Amino acid sequence: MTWQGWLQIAVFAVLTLAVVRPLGDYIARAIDGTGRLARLGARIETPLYRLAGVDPAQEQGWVAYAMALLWFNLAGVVALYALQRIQHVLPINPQHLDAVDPLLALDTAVSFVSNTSWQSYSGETTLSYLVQMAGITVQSFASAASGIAVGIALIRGFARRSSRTVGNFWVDVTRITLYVLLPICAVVTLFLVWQGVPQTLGAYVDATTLEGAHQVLARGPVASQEVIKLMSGDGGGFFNANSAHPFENPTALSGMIEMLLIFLIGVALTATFGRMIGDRRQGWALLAAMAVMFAAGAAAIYAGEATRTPAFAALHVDQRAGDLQAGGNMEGKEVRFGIGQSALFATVSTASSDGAVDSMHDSYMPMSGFVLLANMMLDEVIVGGPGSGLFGMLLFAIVAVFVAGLMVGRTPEYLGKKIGGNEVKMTMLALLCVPAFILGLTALASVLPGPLASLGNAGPHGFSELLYAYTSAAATNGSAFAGLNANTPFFNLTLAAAMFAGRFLVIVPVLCVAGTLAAKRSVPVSLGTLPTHGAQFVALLVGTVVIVGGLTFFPALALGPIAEHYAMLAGTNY
Amino acid sequence: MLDLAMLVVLGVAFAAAAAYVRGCDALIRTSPQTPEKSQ
Repeated sequence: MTWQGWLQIAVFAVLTLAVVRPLGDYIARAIDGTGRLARLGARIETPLYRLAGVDPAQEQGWVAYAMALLWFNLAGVVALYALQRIQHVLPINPQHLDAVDPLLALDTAVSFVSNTSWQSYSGETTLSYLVQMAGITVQSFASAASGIAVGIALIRGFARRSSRTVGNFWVDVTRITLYVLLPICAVVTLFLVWQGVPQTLGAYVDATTLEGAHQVLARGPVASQEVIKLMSGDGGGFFNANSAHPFENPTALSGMIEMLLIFLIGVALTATFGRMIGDRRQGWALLAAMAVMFAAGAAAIYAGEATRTPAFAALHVDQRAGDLQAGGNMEGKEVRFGIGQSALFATVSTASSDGAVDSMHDSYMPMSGFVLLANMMLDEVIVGGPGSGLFGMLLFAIVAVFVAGLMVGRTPEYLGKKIGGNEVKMTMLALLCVPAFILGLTALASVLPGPLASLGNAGPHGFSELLYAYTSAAATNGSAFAGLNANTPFFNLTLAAAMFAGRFLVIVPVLCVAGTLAAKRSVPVSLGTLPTHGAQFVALLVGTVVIVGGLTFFPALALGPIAEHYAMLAGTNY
Repeated sequence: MLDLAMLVVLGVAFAAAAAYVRGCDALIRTSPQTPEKSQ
């Protein structure tokens, strides 16, 4: 380990904390239409609503809000599927790429609409520029806006008293896109172009290397897709190598900004939450819980990768970090930026729902792989995706106050709302759906000969490849462990099912909780009220997340990374 | 033909999600309400 590695992690943490309150407040003002940009944009909003036949003044109950979200996403998934299937007859396809295979097109369409961005394809050899721009990039905006809208609806559920509505989905999605996502994307896209990310509609170029070899350099409208790819929690790369490709992530500075983009909306929404419910301490408490789990994961992965590996130690290889070598496990790392930045990027990517990668997670030490898996298995509440991280953490907060209420024999309450049977039922429905798909589909793939033939490794590492794929899909992360050929009918269909369930079967009960909470009266704080803004509640919340995640996934993790770790110590590598 | 099958799959998936919305709504409407007072 080096001080530079720890410094990078510390700088990232400070930068992230610095944006929380300003951006969180900005989002709150943008959503309610009181921000400066929102007031200016009213001239754009009004014609859009008129064109779509939407009455912005008419709010929706949770059922209407959920149905609007489903219609919006159904239109998106059909459009993205159709674009892929007819890309060979559409313009802006300078490489003359053929139509995408139907099953792969289905998998990709569900992947990006569900905010997952699992990619069973290489972008530069599969998708035309038009599909990258009008399909993939548009769905990155749409899926991020959908997730944030759900998070905002749940905040309104806590903030409102005796209300039958949770907002207007169409207004929320429009304002989030116009005033939050688009402005940030426009500015940071220019920054990335300055750093060296291509932004062109020109065809790929031929180059001759210094050794005289011939090489085709893929390029395209990368910068404009890169920013929303990271900020939306989608994470699907323009290129197969994702953020390890120098055209997606050219410099150490761009790497730092890209990691910040991944966390940007997720952390800011905790401040939005605090502002909208009128108690900022509640938002800071959620952020503190996220920060504790993130810090533990980042430190564990960096320490695990930067210290010596047993296989090299047995060969008496010098593994100390020095001027001529990074030390530790450099396999699969981003060699330009070293172990510290690679470990930080991997933690940020899996703690959020983004899934962008700048190093190969398959090459991490088994217990680092354990942490990467655990980050996703904890329902992506360690910051998580835009909106989904916040509502995931709020679901765990409901479980935490419910458990605390059981312990002291009081009806649980959170933020002045009594947590009743309906809220607990819907919360458990949302929290159990993801594990059911992860474990069920991993078990199925583990016993069928076809899926097993897709594995690149045997033993516990092969099991980890399967477990990682379904965890990444159902948790809407989208990162890949590598080593698994997922472009088969079985994986395309089952991963699409996992992504769909992990997104929409979670969102629906969350909106239901929002609706039931909004309809409730507020109860005054009393001596028996559990404080939910202090260190005690943060510890209770983190404990709840870790215990629920551990009880659910520990047996599967024991068969994968934990078994591989002990096999490695005994001298067996997979 | 395969395209039609894929679109049917997508349609069925979203129809199931819509039914899930109705199911959740029915579940909370038919559940006994928790009294809103502390014990």
